[in-house]
Amino acid sequence: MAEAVITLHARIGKTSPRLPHGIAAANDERANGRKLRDRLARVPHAVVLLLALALALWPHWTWMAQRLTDGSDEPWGVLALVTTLALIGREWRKLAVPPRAALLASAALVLLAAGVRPWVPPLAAATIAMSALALFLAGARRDRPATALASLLLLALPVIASLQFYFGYPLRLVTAALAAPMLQLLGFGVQATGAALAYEGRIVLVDPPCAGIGMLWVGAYTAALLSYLNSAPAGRTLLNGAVAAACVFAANVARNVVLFFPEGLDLGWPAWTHAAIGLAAFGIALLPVVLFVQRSARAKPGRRSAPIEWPQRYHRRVV
Amino acid sequence: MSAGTSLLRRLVAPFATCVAFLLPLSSQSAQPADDDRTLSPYFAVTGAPPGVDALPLKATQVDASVTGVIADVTVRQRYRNEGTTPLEARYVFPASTRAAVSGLRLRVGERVVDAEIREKQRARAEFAQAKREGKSAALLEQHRPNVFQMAIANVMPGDEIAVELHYSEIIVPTDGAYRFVYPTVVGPRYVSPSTPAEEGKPAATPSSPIAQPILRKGEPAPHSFELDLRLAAPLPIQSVQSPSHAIAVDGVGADRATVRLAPDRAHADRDVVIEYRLTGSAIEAGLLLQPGRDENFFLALVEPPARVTGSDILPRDYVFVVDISGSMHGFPLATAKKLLRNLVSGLRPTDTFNVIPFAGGVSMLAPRSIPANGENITRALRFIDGQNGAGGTELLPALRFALAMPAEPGRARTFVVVTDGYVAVEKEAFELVRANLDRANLFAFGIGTAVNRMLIEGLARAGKGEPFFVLGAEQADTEAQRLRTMVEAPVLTRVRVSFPGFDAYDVDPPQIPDLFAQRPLVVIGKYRGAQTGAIVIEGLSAGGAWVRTVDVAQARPASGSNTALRTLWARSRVASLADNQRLQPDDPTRAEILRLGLAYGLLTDFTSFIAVDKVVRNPGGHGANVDHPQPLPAGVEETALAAVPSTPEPQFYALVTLALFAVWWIYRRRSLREVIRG
Repeated sequence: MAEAVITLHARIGKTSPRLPHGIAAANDERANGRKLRDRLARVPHAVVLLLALALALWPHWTWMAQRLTDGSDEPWGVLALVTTLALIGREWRKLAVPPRAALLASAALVLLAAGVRPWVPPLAAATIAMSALALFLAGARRDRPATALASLLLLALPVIASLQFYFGYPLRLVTAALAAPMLQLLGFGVQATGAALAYEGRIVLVDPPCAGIGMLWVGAYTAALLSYLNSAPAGRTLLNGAVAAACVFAANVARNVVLFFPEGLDLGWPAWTHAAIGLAAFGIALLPVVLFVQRSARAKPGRRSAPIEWPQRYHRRVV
Repeated sequence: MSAGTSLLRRLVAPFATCVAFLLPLSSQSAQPADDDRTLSPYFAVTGAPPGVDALPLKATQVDASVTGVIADVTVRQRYRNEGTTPLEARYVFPASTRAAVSGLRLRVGERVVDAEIREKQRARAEFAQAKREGKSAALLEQHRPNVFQMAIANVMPGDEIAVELHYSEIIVPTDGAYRFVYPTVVGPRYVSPSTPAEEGKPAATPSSPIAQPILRKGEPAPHSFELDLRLAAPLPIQSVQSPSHAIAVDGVGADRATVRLAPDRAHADRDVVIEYRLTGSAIEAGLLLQPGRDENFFLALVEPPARVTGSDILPRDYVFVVDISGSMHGFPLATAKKLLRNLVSGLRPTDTFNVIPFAGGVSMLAPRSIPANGENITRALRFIDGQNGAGGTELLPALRFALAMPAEPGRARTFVVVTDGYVAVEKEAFELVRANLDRANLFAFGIGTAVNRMLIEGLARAGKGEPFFVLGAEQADTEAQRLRTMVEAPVLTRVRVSFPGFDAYDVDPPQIPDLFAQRPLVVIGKYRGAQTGAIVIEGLSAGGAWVRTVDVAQARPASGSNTALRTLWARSRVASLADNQRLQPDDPTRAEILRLGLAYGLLTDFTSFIAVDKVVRNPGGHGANVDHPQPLPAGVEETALAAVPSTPEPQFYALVTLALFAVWWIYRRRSLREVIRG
C-alpha cells in the first residue's frame, strides 16, 4: 500500500496535471511561513531583546555614524564595534535573557541617555547608551568578562577628537619633557620648550599627530580584546589596560627620542623609516602587555570565567 | 541572594568604567574662541553647518589695460550666498608686489558704494559697527605689500555682492621683454616657532603671520578665474605668450593687442604671467609728466647702455644658499637642483664656491669656500642631488650663517639665494641682508608657480642684485645663463641722477643701485615750476663712463593713464620707506606711511579701504564667519604646511594590523599547545 502511494505521488509529480498555480503558491507560502516561525521560535529571546535595545539607541548610532562620515573624528571606533559584534555573534545562541536587575538597569540607562541628550554633549549621551548595552550583555553572557566587553563598546565611540583635545597637549608636554633628558644623556644639548624639542636653534615639534593618542587607542583595544579572550575579571581587565597605557606611553617617548635624529639633525632618512621606527616601538611595547595578560590568565585560573573556545575550523587548520 | 549580589558586583565594574569615561566630557560643548585660530596656514576642513555657504566667492574677474609702461587693473570679486544664513566672508588673496591700490567699490544689487580710505584700526572699528548694525560692508586690508584680505559683512542669503578693487603698476621691461604678472594664490607661509620670541615683536606688526585656509593637493580653487588684458604700445607688438597659462591672443603685429583667459577654476593655482615684446625688442623709454592742481609728477624711463663684456673678469666667490624645506619638496626642489647643477657646472676654475642647504637647520658643502675644479664640482653635484625637501624654512638663521662666512680678500663675492619664499619674515630678511652684506651682491631666485615675489624682489633690492623667477625646470638653463652674464658684465654701476634746470623733489629711488639686467632705469618724483631743464643720468659701464640726458621740454603730452603717476609715486615712496625702516608703532616712518596712504588714497600697511552700504539688512549682524580657502599652488606638495619637523605616529591601520597579528599569534600558539596536550 505504502509503495503504491509513493508510486502515485511520484507519478503525480512527473506526469499528472499540476495543481492550480494559486493553490501551489499558497501551499508554498504556508510552508515558508511555518519554516520562518520555526526559525524565529528557535531565536533566543535574549537576541530579540538585544535587537530591541539596539533599535532604541538609534539616535546615538545616527550621531556616531554622522561623526564618522563628516570628518570630525576618526573612524577607528568601527573596528571596536565590529570586534564586539564578532565576539558576541559567534556565540549568539548562548545569549540568555538577563536577570531582572540587569534588564531594569539597561532600560533605565536607555531612558537616561534619551532624556539627557538635549542637555549634555552627544558623546556623553552615547556613552550612557553604550553602558546600557554593556550592562545588558553582561547579564546575557554571565560567563563572559563584562568589563572587557564594556571597554570595547566604549572604544567604539568616536572618542579620538575628544581624547586629542583633553589629553593631547598634556601627553605631548610630558613626552617632550621626558625625551629631552634622554637625549641629553646621549650627549645632545636638547631642551624641552613646551611641546617641542629645541636643539641648536632648531625645533622638533611633538605636535598633535605625535601625541601617541593613536597608539594608546590601539593599545587599549588590544588590552581589552586580550582580556576578553582570556576571560579576565574586572580588576584584571582594568589593570591590563593600565599596563598597556604605560607601555605604549613609554614606547611613544622612545619613538620621539629616536625620531629626533632624522628630524632635528636633518639626516635625510627616507620617509618610510619614520613609520618603521614607530611600528617597531609599538611592537616592542605590545610584548610586555601580551606577557602580562597571558601571565595573569595563567596565574589565577580559579577566578576566571569559562575560557573562550576557539572555532573548530581553526583547530583543524592548526592540526 | 548570592547570585544577585554576584551579578551586581559584575555590573559595577563596567558601569564604573563608563562613568569614569564620561567625566572629562562635561565641558565638551564649549566652543573654541575665534582668537584661537591658528596664525599659520592650515588645511581647510570641507563641510559647514547646515545652511552655511562655506564658499561664497564664486568668481574673480581681472580686467587689465597696459598703456605704454603703466598697467591699470580692475579686479572684480563676485560673492554669492547660496545658503540660508547671513555670512561674513573673508578671503586672503595676492597681488603684484608693485600694485598701488587706489580704489574699492562695493555693489550690492543695484546699489553702488565707493570705499573710503581710513587708518587701519579705525576702518576695522567702522566695519565692526556696520556689521553689528546689519549693513553690508567691505573692508580691504593689506597684510603684506603683495597679500591683501577682503572681508564682506552681512552677505544675506541669495545676495550677489561684487567688490571691485582698482590698482596701477609700472611694467618695466627686462632684456626687451615686458612681463605682466597677476598672482592668483598666496603660497602657504612658514611661520617659525622661534621668530616672535627672537625678534621680540608683537603679533600685530605688518609682518604678522597669515592665517589662511588651504585646500588639499589636487583640489582646484572653489571660484572661477578669468582675465582680459588689453595692450597698447607705440610700436607694433611682435609677440605675446604665457609660460603659465593657455591664453587666447588677438592683434599680434599691430600696436593694439588683446589677451583673454577664459573662466576656469583651474587657472587660480599659479601666477598668470604674460610676456610680450615690441618689434625689434625695443623698449619704451622717455619721460611722462602729470601736472596737477597742488603737485606735479614725473616718471622717467631711461634706456641703459648695451651690455659690454669686460676683458678683465675678477675671480669670484659664489655662495649658494638653497631652500630644501617641505614646501620645496617635489617639482620646486627638482627645478632648484637643475638650476644649481647648471650654475655650479658653469663656474670658472679661478672661482671658489660653497653650497648651503637649509630647512629647519643649516648644513654646508665645506667649512670654507672651495675651488671650482672638476673634483669639487662633482662633489657638489652629489651633495646637491642628496638633498630632500622636508622641514621648516628657517631663512634668517641660514642667511646669518651664510653672511658670516669668512671671505677671501681680493675676491668679489656673490650670494645666490634659491627659494620659493614661503616665509613670513620678509622685512627681517631684508634688514639682515642690508646690514651684513658688506661689499658683496645678492641675487635671489624664486622657484615655483606662485613664488613670494615680495621676498625675492626685496632680497635682491637689499642685496644690490637682481631677482630671477623660474617657473619650471625648462627655464633653469636660461636663468642660470642670465645670472652668469649679469655677474660677469654688469650693465651700469655707480649710477647718479641730477636735474639741472628742472626743480625735481621727493625723487624715488633716492639712490639708484647698480644695474645688472638690461632694463630701463626708472625715476619717479615730483616737480615744481615750468617743464624745463633736463634729467641727467651718469654711470660706469664696461665700455667706460656713460651719460644720458633727457630733455624735460620734450616730454610727451599727458594722456589718460598718466593720472596714475600720483598713486604710483606714493606707492613707490611707501615701498622705499617700508624697505629702509623697521616699522615700530612709534616710528616716524610709520606716521609718514600713514600720512601718504590717507593723502593719496592708497592701501598700505596702516591704511585700509572701507565701504558701507546704508541699508540695514541684517539687524544685529548675526550670522556665520567663513574663511574662503584657496588651492595649494601648482607643484607644491602638502609638506609645505607641515613645515616644522615633527615626529608623527605610524598610520592607524599599520598599528591595528600589528596588534591583531599579535593576538592571532598568541592564540595560534595556545591552540597548538592545547592540541598537542591532547
